[in-house]
Amino acid sequence: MYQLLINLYQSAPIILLSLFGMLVIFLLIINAIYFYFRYQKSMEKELLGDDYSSGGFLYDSTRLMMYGHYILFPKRAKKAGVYEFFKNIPFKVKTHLLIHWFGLIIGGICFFVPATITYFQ
Amino acid sequence: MDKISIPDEALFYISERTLPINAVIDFIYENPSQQTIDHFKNINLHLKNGQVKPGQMVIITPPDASYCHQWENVMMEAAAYTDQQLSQMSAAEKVNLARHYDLIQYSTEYVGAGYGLTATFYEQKKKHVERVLKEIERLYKNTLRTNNGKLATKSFFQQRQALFRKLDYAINGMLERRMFSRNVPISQLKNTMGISSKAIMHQWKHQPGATNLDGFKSNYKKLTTASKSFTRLGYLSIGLDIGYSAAAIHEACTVDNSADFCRLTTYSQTGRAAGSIAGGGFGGWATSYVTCNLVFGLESAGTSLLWCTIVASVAGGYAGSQLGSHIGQSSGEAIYEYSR
Repeated sequence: MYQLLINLYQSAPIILLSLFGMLVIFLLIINAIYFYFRYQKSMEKELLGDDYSSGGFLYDSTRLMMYGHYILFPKRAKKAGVYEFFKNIPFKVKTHLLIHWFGLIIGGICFFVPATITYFQ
Repeated sequence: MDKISIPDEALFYISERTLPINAVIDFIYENPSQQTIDHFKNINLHLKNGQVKPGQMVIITPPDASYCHQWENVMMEAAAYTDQQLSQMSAAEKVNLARHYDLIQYSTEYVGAGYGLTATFYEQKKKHVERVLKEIERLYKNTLRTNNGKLATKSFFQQRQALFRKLDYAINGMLERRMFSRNVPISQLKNTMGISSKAIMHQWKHQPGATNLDGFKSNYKKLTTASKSFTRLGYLSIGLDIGYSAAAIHEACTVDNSADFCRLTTYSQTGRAAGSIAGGGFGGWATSYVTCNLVFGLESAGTSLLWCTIVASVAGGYAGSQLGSHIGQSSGEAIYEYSR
C-alpha cells in the first residue's frame, strides 16, 4: 500500500490528488448521511416551522453548504434572518456543517481539478 | 366539450396539513349559512371524520351557482380518485405532492420533464411572491425573537407595511384574489388554510384533463408517481451506476478467461462507480450552493428553492458524475498498473 502511494506520487501525482479528493468527498457523504439522520430534521423543523418538508437525503443535503455559509458569514445570516438561530446551534452541529463546507471546497478542488484536466486531455 | 365552458369559480386546493372542515368552511365563506355549510359538505363528501388531510383535494364552488353543478360532479369523482391514490402514498409523499403541486404539475405536463422544469424556472413573478412571503415570515420571526415575543413596535409595522406593498405589487394580475366577489388577502389564505404561497387555489379549468375524468386520472397518476419518485430518483441513479459497474466486472470475469483482464476491469469499474458517485455528490452540492444560494441570493432555508435546487443539482450532479467517472476509471487503472 505504502509502495503504491509512492509509485503514484512519483508517476501520476494528479491521480493521487484526485484519489485524495474522492476520499474526502466520500467522507463528506458519510458525514452528510449522519447529519441528516441525527440532526438535520429536528434542526430544520425548528428553523422552518410549518414550512419544513423533507425531500429525502439527496435533496435535503443540498442545503448543508448554505447552513455552513451562514455560520461562517454572519452578515449573510443576518440578511437571511437566521443569524440568531445559527449563532445558538450546538457546537456539534456547527462542527458537522463546517466540516461539510470546508471539506467540499478542499475535496472538490483536489478531485475536480485533476478530473477536468484528464477529461479534456 | 370546450375547455372555456368550465366556470372560473370551480376551484380546489390541495391541503398541506390536517385541518378541521369547519375551520376551512368558516374561512372560505365568511359567516356561512347552514345552506352554505351543507353545500360544502355535499360537494366534499370524500372528507371524512370532519377533517381535511394532507394531499386531499378540497372542492370550492359558490353555494348557489347552478352552472357549477356539472363540474362539481366531475371534481367530486376526481377527489374520490385522488383519495384512492393517496391511500397508497406515505405521509411524506402526500406532503410533497401538496406542497409542490404546481412544480410537479409543470414537470409532468410535458413529455420531457426538463421542459416543465425550465418553464417553472422562468416563472419570475411567482418567485418574487415567494420571496416576499418569506421576507414577511422572517420579519415576524425576527421581531418575536428580538422583542421577547412582542410584535407591536413601530419599526415592525413600518417594515410589514412595506412588505405588504411589495406583495400587492408582486401578485397584481398574477393570482385570482377575488373569490365569490370579495377580496381574499393572500397572506390570510396562506396562514389560515395552511396552503403555501405557490399552491393557492387551482382553477379546475386549468387542470390537464379537466373536461374528461380519464384525462384527469391519467394526469394525477403521473403526479403521484412523480411525487413518489421525488425522493428516490437520486438513489436510482446511484444504484444504476453501481449496477453497471458490477455487470461490467461480472462480464469481464466470466466471459474472458484472463485473470489480468478481470482484475483490470474490477479496478477500473470500481473506480468508475466511485468517481461517478463522488463526482455526482460534489457536482450536485456545489452547483446548488453556487447557483441557488450565492448567485441568485435566495435562501436555502425554505422550500421555495425546490425548482432551483432540482435544476441545478441535477445538472451539476450529471456533469460531476461524468467527470468523476472518467477520473475514477483512470485512477482504478493506475492503481492496477502500479500495484502489479
